[in-house]
Amino acid sequence: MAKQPQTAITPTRAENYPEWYQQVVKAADLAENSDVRGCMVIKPWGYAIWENIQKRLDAMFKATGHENAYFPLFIPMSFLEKEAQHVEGFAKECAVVTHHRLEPDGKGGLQPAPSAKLEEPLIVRPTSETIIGATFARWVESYRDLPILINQWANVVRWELRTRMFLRTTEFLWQEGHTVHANEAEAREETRRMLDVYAEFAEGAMAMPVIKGEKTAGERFPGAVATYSIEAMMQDRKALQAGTSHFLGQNFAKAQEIKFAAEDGTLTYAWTTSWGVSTRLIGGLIMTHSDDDGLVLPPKIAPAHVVILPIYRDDEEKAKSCLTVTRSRGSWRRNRMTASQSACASTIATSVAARRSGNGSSVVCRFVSRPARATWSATTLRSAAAMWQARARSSRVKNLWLPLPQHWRRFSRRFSIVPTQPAALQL
Amino acid sequence: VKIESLKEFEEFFGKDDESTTKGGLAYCRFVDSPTMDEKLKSLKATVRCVPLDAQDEPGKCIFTGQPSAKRGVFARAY
Repeated sequence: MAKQPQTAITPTRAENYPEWYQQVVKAADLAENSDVRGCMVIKPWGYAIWENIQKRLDAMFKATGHENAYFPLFIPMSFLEKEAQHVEGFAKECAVVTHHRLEPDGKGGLQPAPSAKLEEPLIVRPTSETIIGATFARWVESYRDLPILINQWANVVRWELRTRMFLRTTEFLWQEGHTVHANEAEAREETRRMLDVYAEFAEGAMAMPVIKGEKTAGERFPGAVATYSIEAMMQDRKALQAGTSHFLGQNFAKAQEIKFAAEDGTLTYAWTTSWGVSTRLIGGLIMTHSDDDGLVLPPKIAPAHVVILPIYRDDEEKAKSCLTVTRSRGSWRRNRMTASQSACASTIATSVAARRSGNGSSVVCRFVSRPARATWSATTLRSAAAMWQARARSSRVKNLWLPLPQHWRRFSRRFSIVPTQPAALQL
Repeated sequence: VKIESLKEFEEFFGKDDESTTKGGLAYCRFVDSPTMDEKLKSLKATVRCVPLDAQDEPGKCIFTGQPSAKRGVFARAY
């Protein structure tokens, strides 16, 4: 009987895709379930990915003229009632705050104080169209105040019954853009522009191909006139909605009295849009690139980068190692290796000079003994990288790297780590 | 995958809903209708979107037979 090659992640994708996903998240140390059902703890490795996503997206928003602001977590319940379709869409998953104080319940525990009941319950934002719209109504008086282009980085809560880490959680982190325009054409243009920004980000930075499209009536954002989305296909042939951009028409403007004096002096309702992406992108990232050996990240989003340099005792050993590194390059390319990484791999195969340089933020991996297996698989190289990451987290070396903690011990016997200057690697 | 008939569509998504070998993105002409919603529900698929860069292709809705020029992307979704 042929022995099955062992994979770092059990089960494999073919065996049980949803479980494989959970195991990748666990093995890469990205997040864990919390004591609150449906909520996750985003651990440092996972949060670092989110920070990189934020950094890039934020720059793209600024470049398209948007500014950041922050609005309250709580929304008065009456605000939600103003837009009928909107309330219908979100009411069934709203968290509600009804009291503002706890008091002893007489049995050694606590209970909400009956005297501290709120006159009007507050809901925890599932999205902020209503409260931001009410604010915008105060900001907008004349056509000179328009357009308003605001983005907010925040958390939102949607009481989901079936949750999965990053893909669907009760509380999640996201950004929501909200804009107000003087006319329909401009608002529609904004909606499409932000969809393009999302698509560019998904494909350019996350290396995740997406289809840009418009939603049908049934799948539209509650209260929107038109909803556009970017849809990505995952390895299990299921689609993932990775970002949405909504043209809200005058629906929200009418509900919240966002009116302005036009150039000719007439009072008109404004046109609004909203758009958002969330930590769900990380779920998409995992499912797009990872394999049965664990997490694979595109270099622009990866929290740490590493270069591995084999160093040889003699020519015989070099010949062997070069062969194996070249083979490894093949597996790297399957993991979407870019031109710069390819160049890097050649550097790895040839540069011995780097060994001589002093300390720095890069790394040299030394083949201490001949590997037990004939080839160095991508996993092996990856594991070495992970080991290095544990020792030096702040590197700016360009390459694709992947944390896989459970492998550190297994491969530490085969590598020793020597720091070196990035300059010596000609990166 | 472009799909032109309801039979093909059903085959594409298969009966086994947790299978990773069935399904994918199906490009089909459609008209938004209750008939379609019901069919989709039974296959656990949804209309993901109507691609923006698509060109009009006159033809028939695979669910109702009504004339339809637009293709939607159908898939199971997260």
